[in-house]
Amino acid sequence: MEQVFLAAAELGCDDWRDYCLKELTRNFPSSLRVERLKGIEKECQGEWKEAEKIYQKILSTKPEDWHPYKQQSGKVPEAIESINKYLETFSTDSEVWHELGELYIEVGHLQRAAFCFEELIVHNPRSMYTILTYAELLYSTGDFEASRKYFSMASYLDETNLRALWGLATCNMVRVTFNVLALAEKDKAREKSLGPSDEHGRETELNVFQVDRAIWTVYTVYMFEPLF
Amino acid sequence: MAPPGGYAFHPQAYAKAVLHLCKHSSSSVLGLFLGHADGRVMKVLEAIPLFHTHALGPMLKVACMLAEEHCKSTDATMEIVGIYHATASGSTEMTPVKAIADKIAANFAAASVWTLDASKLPEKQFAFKGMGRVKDEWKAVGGDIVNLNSEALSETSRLIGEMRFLDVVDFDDHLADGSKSWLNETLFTGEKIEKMRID
Repeated sequence: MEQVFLAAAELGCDDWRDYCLKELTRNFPSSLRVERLKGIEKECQGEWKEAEKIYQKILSTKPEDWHPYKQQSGKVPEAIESINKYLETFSTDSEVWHELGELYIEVGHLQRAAFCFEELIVHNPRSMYTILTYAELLYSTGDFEASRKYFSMASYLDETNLRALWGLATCNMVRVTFNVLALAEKDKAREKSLGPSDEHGRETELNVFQVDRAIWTVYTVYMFEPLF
Repeated sequence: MAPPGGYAFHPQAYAKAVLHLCKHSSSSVLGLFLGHADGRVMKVLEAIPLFHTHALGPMLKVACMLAEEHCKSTDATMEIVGIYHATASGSTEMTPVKAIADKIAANFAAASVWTLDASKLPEKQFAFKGMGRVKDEWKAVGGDIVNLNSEALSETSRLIGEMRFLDVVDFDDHLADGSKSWLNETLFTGEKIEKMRID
């Protein structure tokens, strides 16, 4: 019944949600779990103050229950602050670290999100989802070397995982581009100091493009094979 | 610059985008619109559903590259003309995808961002709020310069009612299972919308 309530709340089926809550309250009048569901109902209806009151009540009777901390706000910055405060006391709670990571991604603080996922990896080093998300975050924050290492690890754990393979491909492409462009820059600087012609630099840039296309072609072939 | 003749949506592109957004109504969803400028009108010919989880660096880059390859292999004039998205909270602001939108606009000057306005769906009206690139800013697109026939709108409503959005495959689904095609070629087979053409 609790699961049906949560599903109804998520999908916006108000009648089902209210019916479930009524039945649950009737059968378990003094249950803290039901109190928490009432809090969720208030959140759905947008009555944040009421929801907060219910959660405060739960917290005062049972301080180690972490769900209310998680659900206490519909506003993201306040939610982040509450979760951080909670994690100062209970720093081994993976689910809450994950929640915090997702919130940081939502607001665009990718570095802090990466830190959250680092904690998750420490708790569960073989979770593909955590490793892949962490690798993607590293890529998005510009740390391509570290990102490549984590995508490699993901591919090592599961050879057929497409996300890991694509991640590896993009990291390598970026690496090749940077290396050859850096070389091209060096060549250009050298040419400038030696003479007027810029052709060597241009040639190296063309090679970058060709290497890029080569890697790209290889992976495109792999990519479209499963579709036939 | 908003096209002077407005935007014309292919019925299948519109339906695919709306179905994708309905499928994952409780998370942030992102997809691409492909098309080209045809004289004064911006034609949106295809929708590519991308993500229903976070759209981070490498996967987004890969998805755009593949979309471009798809454009080249099907219709050489086609390119990425915009993105569509929706948030879990139902807000119609484009701020969450602004960075991605700016990137698309860097490659295609007349890019547009379409945010789902779910309140319009039950009324069978065009359910996207558009933002077009004007110089360096994003300005709202007026509802009257979007062209989509009403038959397409009622067909989309019918498909949502039949829960056909469960069949939509996006890039996230493809990454989880490589045999699923994110081009969704068979999504509308046998449906009335398959035969509809752009106005």
